[in-house]
Amino acid sequence: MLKPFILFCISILFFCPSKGQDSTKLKSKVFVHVDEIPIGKLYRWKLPNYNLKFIIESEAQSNSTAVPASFSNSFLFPRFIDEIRKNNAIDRLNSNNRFGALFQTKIGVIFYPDSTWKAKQQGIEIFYKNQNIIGSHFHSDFFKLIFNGNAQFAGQTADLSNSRFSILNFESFNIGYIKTFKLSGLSVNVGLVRGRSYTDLNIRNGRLFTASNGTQLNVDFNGSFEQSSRFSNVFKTTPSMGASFGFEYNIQLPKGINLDFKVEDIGFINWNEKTDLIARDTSFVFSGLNVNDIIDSDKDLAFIGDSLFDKLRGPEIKGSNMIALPAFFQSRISKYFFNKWSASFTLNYRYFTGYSLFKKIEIGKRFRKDRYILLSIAQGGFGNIQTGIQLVLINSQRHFFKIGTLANEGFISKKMSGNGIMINYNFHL
Amino acid sequence: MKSSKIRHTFKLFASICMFLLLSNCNNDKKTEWDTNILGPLATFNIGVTDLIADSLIINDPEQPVFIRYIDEFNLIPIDSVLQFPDTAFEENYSTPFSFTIPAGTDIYSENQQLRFVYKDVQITKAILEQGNSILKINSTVSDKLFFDYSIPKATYNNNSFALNNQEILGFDGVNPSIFSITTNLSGYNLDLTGSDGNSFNSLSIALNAKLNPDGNGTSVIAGQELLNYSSKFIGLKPYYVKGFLGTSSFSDVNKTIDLNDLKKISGILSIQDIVMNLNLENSLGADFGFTINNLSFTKIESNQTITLNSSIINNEQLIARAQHINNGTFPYSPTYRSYLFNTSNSNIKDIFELIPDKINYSLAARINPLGNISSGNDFYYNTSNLKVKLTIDFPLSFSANALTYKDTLETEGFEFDEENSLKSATLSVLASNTFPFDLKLKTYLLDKNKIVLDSLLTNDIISAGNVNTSNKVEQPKNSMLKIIYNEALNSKLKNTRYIIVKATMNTQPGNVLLPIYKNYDLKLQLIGNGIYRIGIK
Repeated sequence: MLKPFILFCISILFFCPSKGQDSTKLKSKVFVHVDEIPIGKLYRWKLPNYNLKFIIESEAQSNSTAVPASFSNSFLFPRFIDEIRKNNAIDRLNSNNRFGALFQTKIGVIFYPDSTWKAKQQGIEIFYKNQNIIGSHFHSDFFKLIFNGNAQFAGQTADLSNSRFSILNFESFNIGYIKTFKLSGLSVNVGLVRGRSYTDLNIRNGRLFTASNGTQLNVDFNGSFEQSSRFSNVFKTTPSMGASFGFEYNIQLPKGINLDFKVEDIGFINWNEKTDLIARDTSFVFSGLNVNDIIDSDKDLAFIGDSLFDKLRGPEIKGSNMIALPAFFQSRISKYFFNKWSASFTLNYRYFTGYSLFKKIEIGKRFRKDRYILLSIAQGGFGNIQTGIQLVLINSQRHFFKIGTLANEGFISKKMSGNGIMINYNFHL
Repeated sequence: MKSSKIRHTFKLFASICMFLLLSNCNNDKKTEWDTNILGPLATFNIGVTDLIADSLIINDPEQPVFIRYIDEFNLIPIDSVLQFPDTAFEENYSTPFSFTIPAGTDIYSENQQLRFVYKDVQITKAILEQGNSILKINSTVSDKLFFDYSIPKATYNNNSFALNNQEILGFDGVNPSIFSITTNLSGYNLDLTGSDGNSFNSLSIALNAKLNPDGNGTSVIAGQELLNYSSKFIGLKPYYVKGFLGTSSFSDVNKTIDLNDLKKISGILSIQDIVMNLNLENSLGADFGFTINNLSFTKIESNQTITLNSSIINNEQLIARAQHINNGTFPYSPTYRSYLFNTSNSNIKDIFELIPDKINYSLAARINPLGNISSGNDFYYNTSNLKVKLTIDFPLSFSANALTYKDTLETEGFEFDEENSLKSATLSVLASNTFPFDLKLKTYLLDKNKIVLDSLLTNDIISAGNVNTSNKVEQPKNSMLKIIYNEALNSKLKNTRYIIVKATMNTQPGNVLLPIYKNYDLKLQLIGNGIYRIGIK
């Protein structure tokens, strides 16, 4: 699916006729964020000729050191995961694997009032952001257990140690201040955060032995499980709230060099008092639900899985719990050549399960009608080596549209996992 | 030009969005995958004490199980025999003439004999455990009345029951003046010999009413009701009675008892020995007699009937009355009669081996079969009864040949979700058996017309534990039974309305009486190995 989509985008880039004005004329009129146009002259520090700018950004990507995109796509585009897909993933697994996905939507507005504010190159931004983030690191046995079951471990021990799986969904309403200087710019924002859901399974030490004939399961578990209440968003319950802070600073240095520092989502969410908080250090042997005990105690017949789960879970404890937001730190240096080429190096880190230091080198070229293509190679994040392509398809007076994707599988190498799509649309009045 | 460009770019953007949306619009689909789950599901342990209550096992745990079954019950529902019938006396008083009654005149003075009606029971004395006396007087005399009410032969701590100088207000011309009182008679002694002391079931009561001596008298009209007087005795339950307890009798002829649970069991059973002891205890101060005219046992399936051969049959058995004593837990000494049935004096072993599912009997019983030979000195206490104690002793040592338990269970069918997650499975039953008998299990699924749809277990055998030279099993024997499940079974289970369960037991080795030890058990473990489809929306 990804492959035809990218071909479709490239065809637009090269062959779609545009009625747009000459790019040199447009450039002076278009104010864009530093992430949006990495090449050409620095237009962003010029005073914008509009008062209001709407931003719609959406990004969805998954990445892994081992799990191929064809596998993780099965969750994005629901379908049956057959044995071939599973085996493709299992063949690449080792004792420490990472997988992650990010789904993020941002809708906002930047306002430059016609007043002394604009004269002082000041603006305010207001935006809403919804972020889903999945992160994990896991032993290969963990993956095999989840997707193939435990029958394959008959007579053996599955090692689940050092595995962690986290899912976080939150939304924030942010308000910020923008100030531009002659060769630099600064923006600062604070946000009110509301947590929607949170799940975190952390197996520090875990082993599951399955007897060869299935007569018993030996479980060793040292870890924790936290999960927000399913009802945390119902009005009658206490909402899970928090706060966030972010800033960005850009500066233009001589010889077409730009530096950019960005921090997002430094903050917290305090999950409400209905959050499940389980910490267990236990070992037990499960031989099945003891029917005699049920008859003797005159209990209702329990579900068999519940009994095993109950043993694993232990006593139910609920309480409030404060966690840090998946803070994002990024620095980038870029340089422009000959008004048509650019090169940049980016480092970033996201404080979340399974995310490692991300390094990216990106080369860009401008085409006719102010369209751009950016090619990158990177390492880190939720994955390993990865490639990417981004296309600026529309870059007119009022509209800016960028789309990008990871281009690992199907293009570069089948051994490079990960895929994703980024859509960025700006519209200003 | 400008608007054209905007339209064009919007069109392009919309195209891309549509492309993405259409690519991702299959929201009703789920991400699914199959996992192969292997693990224990349930364990179930059937030991000797699960089959036989521990209280019935009387021997050393190291010895073969010996069972003593005891059942005790009262033969006579005593409340129905010696409960005083609720009894009431009521009378209206009026004068045939019109005249003026002077102040202080006795206007009513009567002694009444209240009679408690029984069939042929003649009680002369009773001590009440509970009960009430209710006296009610309605007056239409215009002035106040004063009355005395007494039951001279009802005493409590040697004091007769009496209500003296009770006042009834004068008639107001509209509603009669009413006096009503309820008295608890618990603990009262009743002398029921009547006023002459020679009667029975009789109680004297007296009422004397006079006009207010401090009044001016009152005029009455001929035929005018002056007093309505009632005395009731409700719920009198005796702690003790003396007299003649009558000759109540009952008989059951050709009665049948269906033992439906035993209909499910058939086959050949041989037991080592059995002894039954029937003990009767008579704590009534009256003789008791009973006759068993017939007692036979039938196995319907094989149409076999065995009649109990015993000297007790057709001979009336007398149990003498209990005797009063001064010392002891109870104020009487019961009499006992015991009947022993064993393989020497009866065919009781054959009866048990038949595993009967129907009992036919005819019997008769009566109190005081010799009449009033105590001259009215029968007695009864509220703890008296005719108690039957049945004791059956037998060693749990038997031989079973194709001893079969068969039962048909009804069901509404088994519903499955359309998206049934279990795709296929093998359910294994690991059996570890120390009982010295095989169990052959069969289970059939039948539809509403009782047509067999499928079978879950067919000729699957849980093997017997191997006995040593002492006919004792030292080590359990393992067997594995398998139930195959696939999706095709779903529709059959859905249409299932009856399930036939059939278990056939054969002791091994055959035709040898094998003792059962208390530590024998059958451990069952259900193990699942199946393909489970996980779905995430």
